[in-house]
Amino acid sequence: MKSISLEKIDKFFSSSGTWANRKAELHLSAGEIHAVIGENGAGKTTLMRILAGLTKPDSGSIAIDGRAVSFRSASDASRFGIGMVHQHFMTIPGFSAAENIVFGGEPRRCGIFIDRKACVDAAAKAIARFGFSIDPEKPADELTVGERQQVEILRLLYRDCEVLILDEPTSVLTEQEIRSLFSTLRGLKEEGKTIVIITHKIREVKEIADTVTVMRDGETVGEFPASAVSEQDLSGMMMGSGSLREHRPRFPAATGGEPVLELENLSLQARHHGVALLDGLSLAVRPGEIRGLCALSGNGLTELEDLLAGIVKPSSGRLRFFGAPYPRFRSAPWRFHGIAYVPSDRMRRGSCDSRTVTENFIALDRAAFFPRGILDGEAARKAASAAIRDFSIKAGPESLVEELSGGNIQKMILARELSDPPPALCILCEPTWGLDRASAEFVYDRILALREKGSAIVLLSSDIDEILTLSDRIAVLRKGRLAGSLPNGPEATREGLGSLMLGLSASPSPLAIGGGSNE
Amino acid sequence: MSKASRGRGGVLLFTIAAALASACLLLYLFSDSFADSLFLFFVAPLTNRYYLGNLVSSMVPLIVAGMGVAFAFESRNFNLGGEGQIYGGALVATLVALNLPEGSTFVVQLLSCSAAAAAGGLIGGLSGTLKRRLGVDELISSFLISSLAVLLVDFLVTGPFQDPASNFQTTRAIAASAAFPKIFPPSSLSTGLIIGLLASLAGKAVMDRTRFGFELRLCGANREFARYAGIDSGIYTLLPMALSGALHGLAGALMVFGSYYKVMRGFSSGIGWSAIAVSLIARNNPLALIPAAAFYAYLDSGSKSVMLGSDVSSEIVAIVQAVIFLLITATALPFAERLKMAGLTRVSSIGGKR
Amino acid sequence: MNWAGTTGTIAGNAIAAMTPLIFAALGGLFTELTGMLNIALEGLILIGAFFGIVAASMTQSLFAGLVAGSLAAAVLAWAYGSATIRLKANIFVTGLAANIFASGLTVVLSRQWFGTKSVVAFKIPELARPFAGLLGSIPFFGPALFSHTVLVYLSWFFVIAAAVIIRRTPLGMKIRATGANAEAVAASGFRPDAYRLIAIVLSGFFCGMAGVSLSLPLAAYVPNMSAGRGWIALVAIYLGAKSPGKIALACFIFALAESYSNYAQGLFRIPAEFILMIPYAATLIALVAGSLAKRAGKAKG
Repeated sequence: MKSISLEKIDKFFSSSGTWANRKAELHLSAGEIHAVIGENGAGKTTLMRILAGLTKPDSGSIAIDGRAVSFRSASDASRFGIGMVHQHFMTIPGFSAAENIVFGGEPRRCGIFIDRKACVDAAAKAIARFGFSIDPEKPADELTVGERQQVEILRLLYRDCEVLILDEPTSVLTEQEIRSLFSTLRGLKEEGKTIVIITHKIREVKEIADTVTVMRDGETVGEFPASAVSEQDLSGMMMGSGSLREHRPRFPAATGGEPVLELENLSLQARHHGVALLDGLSLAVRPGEIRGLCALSGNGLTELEDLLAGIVKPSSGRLRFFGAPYPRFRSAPWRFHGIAYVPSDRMRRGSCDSRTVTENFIALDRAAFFPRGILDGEAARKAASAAIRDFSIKAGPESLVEELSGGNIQKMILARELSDPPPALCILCEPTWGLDRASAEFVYDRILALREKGSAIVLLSSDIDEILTLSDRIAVLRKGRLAGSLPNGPEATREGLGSLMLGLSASPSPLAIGGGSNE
Repeated sequence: MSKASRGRGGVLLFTIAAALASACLLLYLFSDSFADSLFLFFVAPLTNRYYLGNLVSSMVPLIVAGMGVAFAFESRNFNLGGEGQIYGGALVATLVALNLPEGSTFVVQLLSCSAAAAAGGLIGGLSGTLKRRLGVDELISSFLISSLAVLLVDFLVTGPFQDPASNFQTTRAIAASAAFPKIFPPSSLSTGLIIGLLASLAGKAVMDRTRFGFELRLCGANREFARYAGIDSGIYTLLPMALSGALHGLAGALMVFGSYYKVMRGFSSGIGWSAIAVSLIARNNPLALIPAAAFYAYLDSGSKSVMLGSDVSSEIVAIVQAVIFLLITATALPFAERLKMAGLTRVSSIGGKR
Repeated sequence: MNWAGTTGTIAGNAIAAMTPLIFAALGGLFTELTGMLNIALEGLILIGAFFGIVAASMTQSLFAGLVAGSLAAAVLAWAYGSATIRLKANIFVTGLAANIFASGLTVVLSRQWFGTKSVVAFKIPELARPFAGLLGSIPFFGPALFSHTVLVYLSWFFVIAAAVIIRRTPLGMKIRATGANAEAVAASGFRPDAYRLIAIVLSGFFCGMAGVSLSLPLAAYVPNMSAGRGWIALVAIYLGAKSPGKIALACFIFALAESYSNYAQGLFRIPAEFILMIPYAATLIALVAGSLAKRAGKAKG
């Protein structure tokens, strides 16, 4: 195989109502390390899954050495020597390393029995050949994370894979394991294998890749030799260099007043392996202020959401609401406390898709709508209809939520959380994710209106434009730490924030700060 | 995803068609005269008062127990213990009735039925507690506890509570005055029918219009959202199982007061499974239980009629029931797209076990 | 008192009694390994028992009976598995369907072919006892190990065969992998659903043999003769931690308990119903104990 190209790939997912790939392209040459880079949701994994035969494109073509091919399944692709190592490892627990490596192609004795010794030998040979040092008879459950990844790579190599696709391979590795992986990849390249790495880590791309393809919003932005682009160029292409929306005129934020929400040196340890998911966060949010917190996915935004939602307790540090300990999750209706929470997972945590709009609307305030245990249908319907009118939701009170578009579901959730009286604290997580332009504008208007009324608003979002449009003050999270904190003034640019989120510090940024601090 | 609801409507139609087709096939294979047995199965149950009345009478426990199944299903719990709960409830009701002084009929009936419901509720609640506290799968535990209960009641009926004056394995009969009055002689259809219909309406009201029903259904539909809304899913494991058991116990009591007046060994055999089939057909909608129970009772009645009129055994209804069970929870009929099932289902908020 | 003889006989009875349990447990093991809870074992055993003895009686060949019983159960298992996997039905409801179907069909056919719904006796050739002659007269080991019918030895063979299939054939590897990580199996280019269906059909095959080993030695078919063994099999699988050898041991313990309880029933005049309760009670206790153990394990961290 000399070259592979994917052309004009389209892929639509009806479950999320989005185009994961739109005329996406990729061109691979034999014997290169090719990085596919982009933000989360850019479509990288979907495109690679199509190449690996795990998903079928809606339209577009795949050509190997100029000849068009189509894959009906992963085994078709593997017949062409294409294989994928997934982000969430697929080692088989209960099998040994050797059994994992040779799975599906076990050496046989007399045709129907597995030759166990040959399995171990074949695995040991592969392990040695590629310079690893795993004990082939060790159970997969006892392997380290790095070793598990090696087993997955070996499984592909054992089946004579020529094109190895690695999805975010370094996301769970230690520094040392990353070094080791890169040297392995270089070795494989020497042997003529083609490596594709899906990543969002620009630094690594520059370090290991020969060629880079940048994707954004499901499209291929461009393809470049890695040496010909700078980190800033890549960051700009990944994030998009221009803002698509005008910045709103900023009204001066209300100053003074006691902080509504305070984070004091907050840390959160992971349950199983002591990794710090959040580390030493300190923040304060005052009434009438919108505090935007942005980060790439996997850098602590989700954990912070769970903390602010009261679902998880911090391992250390303090979380305070009006100076008092933060109320437990739904210990009393949060509206009673005056906290509104719009979850990022609107389908699982935010709504119940098999129920009607009205039922979803009243679900959080049952005491009010079920006086003495019986449903007050009139009140429920009136409230739901008012919310529908108020937030221009394209649905009737009796429509099932599963029939609504993502935008309308989000509006329904906002209507439920943000209706009068205005809550003292609003926690909004990815509030316009997946929404069309008009709905997003509508939501922004509502959020700004709440700010006028004096609510303190915490906005957690990985959408830089959204952060820039709404925030009074911006904080950037990276690897669970506060990477930067600044007012939303002239210094707050896409590039600057992007750099902070990606951890680039090629030019010492006046925005970056070392650790947690109270601004 | 209203395609899913439409798909379920298609599955229901297909299942009913398959059930009827298999009934015909069984009659063809096992009866001497296919034409005669077709008549006996499909037509005879509707032709005279005796058969028709008994058909309607047999709907009553199916509706009440079916509602028990539905409440459990709606909260994503599986009550597989209906057999034991019905049987146990029936025995408790009989014993209470036999041991109360012959006073006000209404009081006797009320107390017996309440006791039966309590007994069933305890059995069901036990499974619910095991799941809530220990995470024991309620499907298996309810089945096992029920199997134990059935054996225990068998023992009690043929042992300590055996009617000494009878040759059959049965308890003594309740006083004739305590029984529900008949409304459609010569069949055994009694005023129990009214209770059954009222139960269906009450069940619908509770499910749709009460906070309890709302929270129960929410727990079943989306556990995480229910948690977010502050609903304790542990309670909504225990309560639905207990309620389900109680309704089954009540169904047993209604059978005693309406038709049987005593508990014979094995008298409730199979009704627990039938109630599950009925609830699955009705897709947990308490009102739809009435036509679903009618359909099922019709099949059952037909098979009994065939048994009396020819030499086919009445167990063919079990085979038909098995066909229903096999297909009714299918979510992916291979040819569903080709059969245009548009307009077949009015999507309702309550219907459908996911 | 002839201790060697008596204990030998008790052990022998237990070993004979565990044969259907072993077969059923082996069948259930395959489905358990693919991560499915198979509650249809009872019905599959029943079908095997019925069709096995009917075929044996019709052909006067015990081997034909064995084949017929296991094939019939495999066919029912195939229907149950297809509905569950291809039509994506709920596995508990379809399992229930299989049990109810078996129960109903056996009664209908029994009535149709033999004119009765209760016990049917058959005339079949005597089951061979291959080692009973000289070896059978060894004290203790004679009655314990060597006087059994060929079905008992067949069950031991299948314990070994199952262990070999599971650990040493590619099919076994894929079945185990499907239960451990079905996504990995799919990502490797195989179809986990195919292996689930194979596991269910295998469970039918083995449960069919379990049924045959109930009816043939008795030369009769008794309605509902599976009598809870399908549930005991599930407990045995659970206790035996998915290893055929340990499962066989668990079956032996259950069979010993069953033998003793039959003995005790006669001795203490315990009502039959309480004896019948034992499989269900045992399964329930095992379930609760297992959950308690899991809780304790989790608490320890």
